[in-house]
Amino acid sequence: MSSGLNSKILKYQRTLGMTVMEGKGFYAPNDMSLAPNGRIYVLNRSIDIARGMGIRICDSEDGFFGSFGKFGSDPGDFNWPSAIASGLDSQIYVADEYKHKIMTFSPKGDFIREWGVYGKKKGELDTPSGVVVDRDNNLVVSDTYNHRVQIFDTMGVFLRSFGKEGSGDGELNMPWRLSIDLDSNIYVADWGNDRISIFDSQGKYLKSHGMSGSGDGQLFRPAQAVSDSSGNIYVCDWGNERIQVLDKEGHFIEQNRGESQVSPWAQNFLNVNNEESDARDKANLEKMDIPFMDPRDRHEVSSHIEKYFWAPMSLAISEDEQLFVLESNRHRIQIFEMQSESLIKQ
Amino acid sequence: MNSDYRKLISHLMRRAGFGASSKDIDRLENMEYESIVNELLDPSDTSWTEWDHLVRRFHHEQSGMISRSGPGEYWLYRMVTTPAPLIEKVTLFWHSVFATGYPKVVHGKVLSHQIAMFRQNGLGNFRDLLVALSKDPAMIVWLDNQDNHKEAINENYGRELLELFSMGVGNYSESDVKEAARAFTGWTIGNTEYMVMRSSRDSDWPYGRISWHFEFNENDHDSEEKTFLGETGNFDGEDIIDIICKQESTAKFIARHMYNFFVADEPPVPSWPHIEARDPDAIQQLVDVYFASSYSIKEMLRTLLVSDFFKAEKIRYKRVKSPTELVAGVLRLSGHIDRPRREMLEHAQRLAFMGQMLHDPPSVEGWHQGQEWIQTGSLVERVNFASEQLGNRNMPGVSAMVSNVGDTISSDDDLIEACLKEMGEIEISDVTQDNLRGYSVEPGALDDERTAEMLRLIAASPDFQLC
Repeated sequence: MSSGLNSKILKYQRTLGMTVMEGKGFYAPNDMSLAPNGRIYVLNRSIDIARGMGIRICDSEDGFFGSFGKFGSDPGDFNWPSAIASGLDSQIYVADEYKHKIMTFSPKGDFIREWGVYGKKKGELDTPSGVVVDRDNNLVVSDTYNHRVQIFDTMGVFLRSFGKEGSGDGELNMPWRLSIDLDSNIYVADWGNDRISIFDSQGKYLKSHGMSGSGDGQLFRPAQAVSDSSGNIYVCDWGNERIQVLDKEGHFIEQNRGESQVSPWAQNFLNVNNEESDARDKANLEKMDIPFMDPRDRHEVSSHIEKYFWAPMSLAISEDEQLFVLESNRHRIQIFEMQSESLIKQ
Repeated sequence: MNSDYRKLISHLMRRAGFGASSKDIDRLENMEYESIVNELLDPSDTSWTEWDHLVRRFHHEQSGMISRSGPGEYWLYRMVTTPAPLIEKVTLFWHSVFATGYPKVVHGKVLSHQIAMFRQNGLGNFRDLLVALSKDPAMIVWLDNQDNHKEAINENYGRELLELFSMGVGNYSESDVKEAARAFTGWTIGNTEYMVMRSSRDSDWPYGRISWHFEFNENDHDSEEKTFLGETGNFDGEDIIDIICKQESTAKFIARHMYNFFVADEPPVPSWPHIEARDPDAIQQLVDVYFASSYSIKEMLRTLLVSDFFKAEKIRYKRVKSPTELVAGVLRLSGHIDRPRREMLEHAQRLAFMGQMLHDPPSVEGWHQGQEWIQTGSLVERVNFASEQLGNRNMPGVSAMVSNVGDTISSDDDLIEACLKEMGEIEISDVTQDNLRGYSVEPGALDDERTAEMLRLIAASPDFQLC
């Protein structure tokens, strides 16, 4: 397997964040949104206790700008926050898959409204786990247990939907995250079908990439796919604990298991905790010849190798074409420079 | 339909699993008893892949496991949804024998890996299980074997291996403890200093927990001659386990544990040297199989489950369900966990209120079982949990039971009997029957609500606390 060190497209740059329940860091983060103003909104699921749940605001240069949101039962409170998106109107949209609602916040975190009704009918939701904003500033929502994608305006008025339960063309099985490419096509992580399905903006099925497995180009419970300006597709292959790069036709180019180094925030922690830092320096955290219970179990392997992705579940591409990979179990974001194919060929 | 046979199957499924629904028993009653036991011991479907992914997708705390509760919640999911209940039951058995706890290990992932190791080895060869246990990172830290050095032994693991994990007090000497400890010097975890420091500080920093792995440090291993249980040689840990497994006392000790867990309550382990086993003949049968099968746990359990002493009516409904058995059994019956649900966290927390937080035993000795599960506070929790779940018609399993009972029943006794059948062919005492009989209604007035209420009352009865 490619370690990532010989990557042609992805070149590791740096890591953001560290594990903290509150303040400067993340706590079981599960989604992020790169806002047009350069802010990164990181949604923290926490570990299902009151503390640590909410949204942290930072930027890619390690700036930290506070947090908002909390666990609770009032409107605007979170239970199982699942997805976050920045609107063209600068508002922040958050899905909660326990409340079956979409919430709206101002960029500073003031709660504005929430909507959403649990159910199976059109316009109703059962476990919304992905949300993205299209070029009309409508919300495209992954309606997981209804096995479909629904589109609403920002006030929650139902516009249209596509997909139904199944494994045929255009059918979905527990879709997770979404993204929209430059042509307004919608990329759906068809989690239960181990593939990425692509629809046009009106919901017409176009094509799918991937099949079940752990080999090149194969997928195992993918969480998200995004495409860059050249059409390359970056797949968050959650079940295989890796990122795969596919060309626009879906052909495998490369994979990456993760290369994280210590982030500046983490280094600050180590700088003031000398004993722990010294012990860490003596440890080998990349040792591969250890007695894994099942070496084929990448979830287990990732739990041992700190630099590897562990539960990667959200991707984003910045305006300067950097790939952000968020990992829930390592509470951080790895950032990669994306070298274009034309540059590589030179 | 053979009522006695259905009741025997119900007994088997309570003890070798977490109970069975009426529908389960409908399927099983067409099989020979021995075939059912074989299916439990060698299930065709042991994978849990689909649920594993579902749980990790929705429950991040059960994926990265940086919390104390994560591994127990994850395991409870598996007990409730597995198609191979005996595998989980045996895993729970070993967790109660080789009790390892979060307060000292402070690492949910390695505790969860230990459970996976029990699942993998729990029905295998006892020698292999002891070797795996001795190399298990959570066990190593739990009993300080990373501090067991060639030049300065730490006897903790060597002592508990003999006292609580294999032979029992009175069957070895203090010298044997020291010699065993010497043999296990150098059995440690990788990156010991960093990993143990992080545990002692409960440190998630900077990037969550890093799983531990076993490491043999040859430079720290005492390879000199040792004398253990009368044998002399340059023993290492595996040699010590070989000698332990040959002992009659080991076979008796494990057999008594199995009898205690699957058949009938024995007194707490510290009493065993002073109180004879409840059924010495049963223990001897298991001991014979232990040696005849070269220490096969599966063959011991097969013998136990098909034995007359296991099938005997006199031992049915005499064991108090552990909190885990109660909660997992109720949730399997109620059908609440038909997909990942946030409420699972509360269900797992109820285990703690009932006195059995998984991965947090009161000591290395594990939980005292039997009647000791029943305390004033824990009993209220147990009754409330069972009655809340099984009286709730919104639960798919309850809704199905209510529907199956139907509206054709016209007498108190018929309603009670129908509900008992739906709850897995369970039985109640005459006293409970009399109490329930006074609850029902005039002929023709039965409806779904009354049926659900009867299910709730049965779940709240003293009899339901027993298995």
